Amino acid sequence: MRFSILVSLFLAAAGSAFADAQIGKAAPDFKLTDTNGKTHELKDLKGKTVVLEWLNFDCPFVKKHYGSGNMQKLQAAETAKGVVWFSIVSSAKGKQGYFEPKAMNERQAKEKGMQTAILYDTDGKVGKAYGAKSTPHMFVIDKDGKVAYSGAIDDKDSTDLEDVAKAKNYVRAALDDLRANRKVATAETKPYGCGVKYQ
Amino acid sequence: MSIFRVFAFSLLASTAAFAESATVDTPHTSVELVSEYEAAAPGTDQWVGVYFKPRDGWHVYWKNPGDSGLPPRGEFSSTPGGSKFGPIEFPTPDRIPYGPLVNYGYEGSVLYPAKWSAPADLKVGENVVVAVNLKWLICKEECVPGKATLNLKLPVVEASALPKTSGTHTKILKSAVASLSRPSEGRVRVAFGSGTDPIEISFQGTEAKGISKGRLKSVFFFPEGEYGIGADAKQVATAVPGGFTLKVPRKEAKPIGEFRGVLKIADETSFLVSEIVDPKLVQGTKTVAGTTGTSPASPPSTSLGLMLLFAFVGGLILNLMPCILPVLSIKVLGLANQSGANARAVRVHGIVFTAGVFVSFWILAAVLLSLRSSGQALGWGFQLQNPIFVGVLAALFYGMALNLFGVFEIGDRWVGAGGSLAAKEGYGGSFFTGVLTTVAATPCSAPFMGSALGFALTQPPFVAVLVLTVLAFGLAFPYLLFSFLPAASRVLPRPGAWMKVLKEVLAFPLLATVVWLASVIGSQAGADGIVGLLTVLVFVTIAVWLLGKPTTRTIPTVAKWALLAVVVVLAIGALGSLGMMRKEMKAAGSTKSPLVHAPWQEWSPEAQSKALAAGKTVFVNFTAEWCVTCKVNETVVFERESVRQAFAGERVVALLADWTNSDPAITAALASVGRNSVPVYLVYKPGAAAPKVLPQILTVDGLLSELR
Repeated sequence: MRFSILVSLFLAAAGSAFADAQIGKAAPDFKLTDTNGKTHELKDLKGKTVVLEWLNFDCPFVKKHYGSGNMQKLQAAETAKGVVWFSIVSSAKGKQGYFEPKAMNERQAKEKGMQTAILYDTDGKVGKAYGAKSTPHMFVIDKDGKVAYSGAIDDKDSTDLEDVAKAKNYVRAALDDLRANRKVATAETKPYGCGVKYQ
Repeated sequence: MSIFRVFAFSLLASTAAFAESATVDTPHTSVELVSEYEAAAPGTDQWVGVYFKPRDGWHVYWKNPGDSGLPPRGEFSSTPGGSKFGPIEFPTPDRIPYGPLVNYGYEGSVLYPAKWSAPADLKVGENVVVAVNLKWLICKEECVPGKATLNLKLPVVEASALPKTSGTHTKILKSAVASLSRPSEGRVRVAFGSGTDPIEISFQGTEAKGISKGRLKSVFFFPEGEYGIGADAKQVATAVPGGFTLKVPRKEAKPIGEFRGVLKIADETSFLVSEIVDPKLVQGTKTVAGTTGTSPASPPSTSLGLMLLFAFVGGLILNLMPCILPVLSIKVLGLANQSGANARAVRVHGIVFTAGVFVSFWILAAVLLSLRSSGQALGWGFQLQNPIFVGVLAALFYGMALNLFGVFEIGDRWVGAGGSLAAKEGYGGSFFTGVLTTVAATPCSAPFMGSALGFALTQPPFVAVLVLTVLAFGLAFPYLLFSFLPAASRVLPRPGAWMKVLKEVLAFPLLATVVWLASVIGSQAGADGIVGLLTVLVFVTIAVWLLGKPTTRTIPTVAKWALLAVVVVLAIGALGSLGMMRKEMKAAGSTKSPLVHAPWQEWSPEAQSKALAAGKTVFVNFTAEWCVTCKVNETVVFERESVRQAFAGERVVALLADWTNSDPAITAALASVGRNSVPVYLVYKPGAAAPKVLPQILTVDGLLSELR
C-alpha cells in the first residue's frame, strides 16, 4: 500500500485554489474607505506590520474585549510601535455592527478605540477574500505583506470578561515574535466569536 | 480593575439570570435542568441534562459551533457532595447557514445530557440538590450570551424504587441519550488523500441501502475539529452499492492526528466517526491499514492505475494459489502436447487460451454486475454459493479425469488438453482450458486481487470490466509468455510414451478436486447432498461408459443414444435436487455454520459490537467452505497451537463469518472494508474505530503480533 501514497501524492501535486488568507502567503490586497472618507490600500503599507481586526461593536465577544479594555490596550501599545491597525466592519448596511460614519466615529470615541482606522467592507468582499468568519477574527500581516497570523485574539473562547486576564493573547505573541525576527510560534488558531454579518 | 467589574456586571445583568429554581427564562430561550427520574438513589447512575427551548429563529451550538458561536458550558455539582458528573454530551446537530457562514447547532429544542453518578452515602428520605453553573451563547442575527445557576431538588429513594419515579422528562431525556450518535461498528470508512484532496467517508449498511437522491443531499459530516475542513464546505454524497460515499473538501492541508466527528444520514440516524491518522505517513495522508487494503471510496482518477496494477499482479499470483492446481496440470499437459508443434501453432494456442480466459471473465463480470444491479448481494466466487453449480463443476472434473485415464476419448487423437471439448482441432481445447482456468480460479482470491475486485465492484460497469480484464490478463500472462518464448518450447522433451504416463498421473489432482467440491456440497446441502453428487457421478460414469468403452459397441446405436439421454436427464434431475436439499436444510434451521467450532464464535454485527464494547480485541475471519486460500490459512495458521491459544485467550474474541452460502450481512461487512471476496481477516483493537485488514496469506508470527 505504501506506493499508493506515492501515486496519490504524485497525482495530487496539482493542488487547488484557496479563497482564504494562507499563512506564509501574500495577504489579499484591498482598497477600503475609512470612517473619515480616506482610502487605505494594503500594498501601500509594505515595510509595515499590519493588524486586521474584524469588528462588530455589538457582538458580545467584541464587547468582552472592548469592555475589559483589552483590545484598546493592545491597539495603543502596538500602534505606538509603528504597527498599522485596521478594524474592518464587514457588516452589511442594516445589519448588526454597521453604523454610518458619524455614528461609527462616536462609537469609536465612546469605546476609546485606539485603532489606526475603522474601514468599511460593506459588500463583504475583503472579508470573504480573507475568510473572515467571526468578530473578532484577527490577522497579522508582516512587513513583506505575508500573512503571519490568522485566528482568534486569545485562547479563551467565551464572552466572560473575567477570562481576559487568564487568556494568552495570540496577536500580541505573534507581533512580539515578528519584532524579535522569530518564527511566529502559533500562526493559526480557530477564530471564535459572532458570525460576521455579511449581506 | 474595579471599573471593569462594574461594567461587567451591568453587561451581564441584561442577559444572565441567577435562578434558585431548575428553570430560567430569558427573552431568547428557556433553560431547564432536568433529570431522568424525579428522585435519586444512593450510588446509582442516571442522566441529567440541560434543556434549551430557544424562541423562534434563535439557535444554540454543537461542540464545534462551526464558523462562529460557542457551545454551552456547564459545571455540575451536588449538595451533599460526592457526586460524579460526566461531560455534557452533544446530540447530533443541524447545519445552520447564515450568509456565507455555516454554524453547527440546534434551532429547535435541544437537551444536552450528562451522566450523573449519585453519591453512595445519600440518606433515603432526605433530599439531594443537583446544581449546574451554565454559560451559553444564543444567536439569531445577533448573539447574546447567557449565564445561570440552576438547582434541582430531588428526594432520595431506594434504588429499587427509582424506576417508579419516571416523570415528564424521562422520555425526553432517554430519547436525547438514544440520539447521541452511535459508533459505526466498522461500517464507516474514511479515506484521506494527500494535500487538500477531499476526505472521503463511505458508509455501508441497511440505513443507507437504496438511499434516495433527496436523502443523499441531507447526508452531512460534522467535524469535531478543524482538519482543514471549512464549515461552509460543500459536501457531496453519491450512492454506491450498499451505501454512499461522502466527499468532504479540504481547504487546507493541515495535519490531522485524530479525526473525529458525526456522520448524519437522517434526523434519527447518525454515527460517530473516529480515526487515528498515522503520523508516520506523509502529512495528512492515510489509506486504510493493511498490506492490501484500500478504500472503495478512492476516486478513480487517483487510484484506477494502481488498481489495474493490483489486478494484474493479483492475476499473476492467482496462478500460484492452490485452487488453480488442477487446471494447471491440464495446462502443463497441453504445453507438453505442443512440444512437437511449430512455434506459430504454439503462439496461436497461447492467444486462444488467453481469449478463453478473457471471455469467461467478461461473462462472469456481466453476470455479477447485472445481478448486483438487481440488488443482490454477491461477490467473487458467488457461483460456488450455489450447490448445483458446484455439482456441475464436480461432474466436469470427474469426467475429465476419466478422459485422462483413457476410459473414453473423443476423436481419434488425443489433441488438446481441455477435456472433451478439446477435440479435433485443438484450438477449441485451448479456449476451453482458458474457460476452465477461470472457473477453477474463482474460489481463490490472491493478494492484491481482493483490493482490485472490491474496487471494481463499486465502480461504473466500464471500469469494473476494465479491472476484471486486466486481472484476466494477469492470470493468462504466464502461459502467453511461455507460448511466445521460442526457448521455452525447447525446454520440453520430445513427445513420446512419457506423455501417456503424465496424462494418467495428472488425472489424480482432478479427482482430489472432486473430493474437495464434495465437501463444499456437504456444507451446503448436508450428507444428502454428497449422496446426490455421488449419484450424479455414477450417471457421468454410465455416460462415459456408453460413449467410450469398446464393449458397448455391441449395443445398438439407437438404444445407446436413448440410454444416454435417460442418463443425462437423471443426472440433471440429481443436480437439481441439490438445490432443493439446501433449501430443506435451511428450512430445518440448521443455519449454524459447520465451520464454527471452538475457539471460533459465529460472527454477527451484534456479536462483534458486543465484544468490542467489552474492550476485547476482535479477530474476524471471513471464510467459505469453497475458499481454498481460506482452507490453507486454516491448516497452516489457525490450527497451530499458539494461534489457538491466542484465540481462546481472555483478551481476544475470534469471530468466524461463513460465506459458503450467500449472506447479505456478510457481503455488506466485506463491502465496508472495500472487499468482495474471501478470505478477509480483520483485527479490531479496542478504541480504534476502523479495523486493520490483514494480508490474505497469513503467517503465524504475523498474526500473533497483530493480536498482541
